[in-house]
Amino acid sequence: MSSATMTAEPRITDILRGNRDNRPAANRAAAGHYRQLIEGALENLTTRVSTLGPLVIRAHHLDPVPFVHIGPAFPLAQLRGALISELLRLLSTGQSVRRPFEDAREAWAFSHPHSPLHRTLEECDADDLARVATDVTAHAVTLIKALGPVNPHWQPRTDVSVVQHLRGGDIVVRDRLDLVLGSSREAVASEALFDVTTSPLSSRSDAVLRYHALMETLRTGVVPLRVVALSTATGDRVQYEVDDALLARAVSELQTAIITEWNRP
Amino acid sequence: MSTLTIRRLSAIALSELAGDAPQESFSFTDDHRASLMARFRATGTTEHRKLDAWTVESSGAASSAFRWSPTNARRSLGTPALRLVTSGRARHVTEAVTLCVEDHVVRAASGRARPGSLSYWLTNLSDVQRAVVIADTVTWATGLLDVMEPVTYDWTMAETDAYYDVATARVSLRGRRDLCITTELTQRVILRFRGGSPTRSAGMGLRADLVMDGLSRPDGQTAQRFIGVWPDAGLILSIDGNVENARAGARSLVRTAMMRGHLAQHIAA
Repeated sequence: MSSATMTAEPRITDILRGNRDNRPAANRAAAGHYRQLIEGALENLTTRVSTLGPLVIRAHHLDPVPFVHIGPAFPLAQLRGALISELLRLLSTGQSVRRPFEDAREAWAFSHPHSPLHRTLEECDADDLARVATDVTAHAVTLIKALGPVNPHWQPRTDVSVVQHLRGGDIVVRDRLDLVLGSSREAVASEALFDVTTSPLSSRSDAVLRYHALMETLRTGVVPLRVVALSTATGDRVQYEVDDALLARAVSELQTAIITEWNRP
Repeated sequence: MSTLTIRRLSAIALSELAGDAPQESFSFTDDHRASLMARFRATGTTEHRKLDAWTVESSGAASSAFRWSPTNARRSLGTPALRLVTSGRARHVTEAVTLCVEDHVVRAASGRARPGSLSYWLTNLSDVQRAVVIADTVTWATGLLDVMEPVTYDWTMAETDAYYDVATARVSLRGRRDLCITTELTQRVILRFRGGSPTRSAGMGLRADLVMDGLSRPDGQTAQRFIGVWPDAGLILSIDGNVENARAGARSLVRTAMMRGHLAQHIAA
């Protein structure tokens, strides 16, 4: 597993594309193997404690510490993340963003009319709103500076949904990819996945990147080329070439998350 | 047999499913149409019922009034956009989708769009909202192209969905179809692209689509094979256009019409 953490300089789109001459052959055999590995570990699960429908696993379940929504700032941080993801969608289609907060807010409200975060926004007083607006604008400036132009020939897909059923449908594993470039049908590995986060990068963001790589492998049947994350809080980015070691670790993390959640009362 | 085949999504799997589709398929005769009409009439309601695969899969559950959204606009925009790409009239999907959106806006601006239409809706969106629609459609269309380009047979985007009005029964059927694969041996293999993952009733939906596609044709011939593709889940479900699947599909449509009728009576009461 090769990785590099950088401080600034290269644009995200350049990192995602990399050097076209150095790409490995597309690995179309690994997906079945990893699916078997995951399913194998789930065979001996006992009867589930909670029986309310299938167990749904998402990226946040990879966190070893239970995900607790605490503190008054949490919904605003969630909202900030949602708005920055929406901004990425606009940028990926070549839309020029002049008023980051207003544009992101309009795009998000339009594409997520039923989100519970609307309530959070409605409850903001003028000061809160001004604070969120400057916060989102600062994150947006980092994103716009770091991203670089997205060439439409790279086949950008945004907010890509992935869903996998395991153990005969008892377990549903879900993921959403912020931006996918390239294709899974090339002879060489060509798909690059990008995740934008408004939090500082941590070991958790690494696990999320591995999870994205595994989920896309299971969905398309082809191992992606690389995964890249950008923190708009710090401007830091991290990239991983997707290889067997990375996917094996992702499988192990996913198994642990599933077993933990399965046994949770 | 009304067997439902489930495969992992890949170009090889799609090519195999298209290549080994049966050469013969079921055809609806005038007698079949008359019998179906009688069954729909026997469901006994004066309410006009619009049925599609979704209503079949959801057992006739009432759906809320239709409103355009980025999610339901992407198929209407993505299909003509892919026609532009595959015919070489657009360099890439983003350009094709943008051209389609502009075409709708021009149509509405020149007074050729009715209120409630996609053109009318798009015209009333802001630039930002239109960019969201474009991003959603580009993602949908690129995903479809990514799946289809390596398929070894010729394929074309469907011109329209399949529509069939059951005479005197106040029932309108709409079968969705996204593209058609043609091989040397088989005439028509129809594909439908769906979001999310297949439900337990996805097979019933496919059979209903198979029936509606056959009924919409003057010769009544069903497709040799009907394939549902769920790219989000990486799965393919397929059924053959045989008498068992046609019968099962027709039955589920009649049952859904009946449920819809009961629901309408319940609401009225």
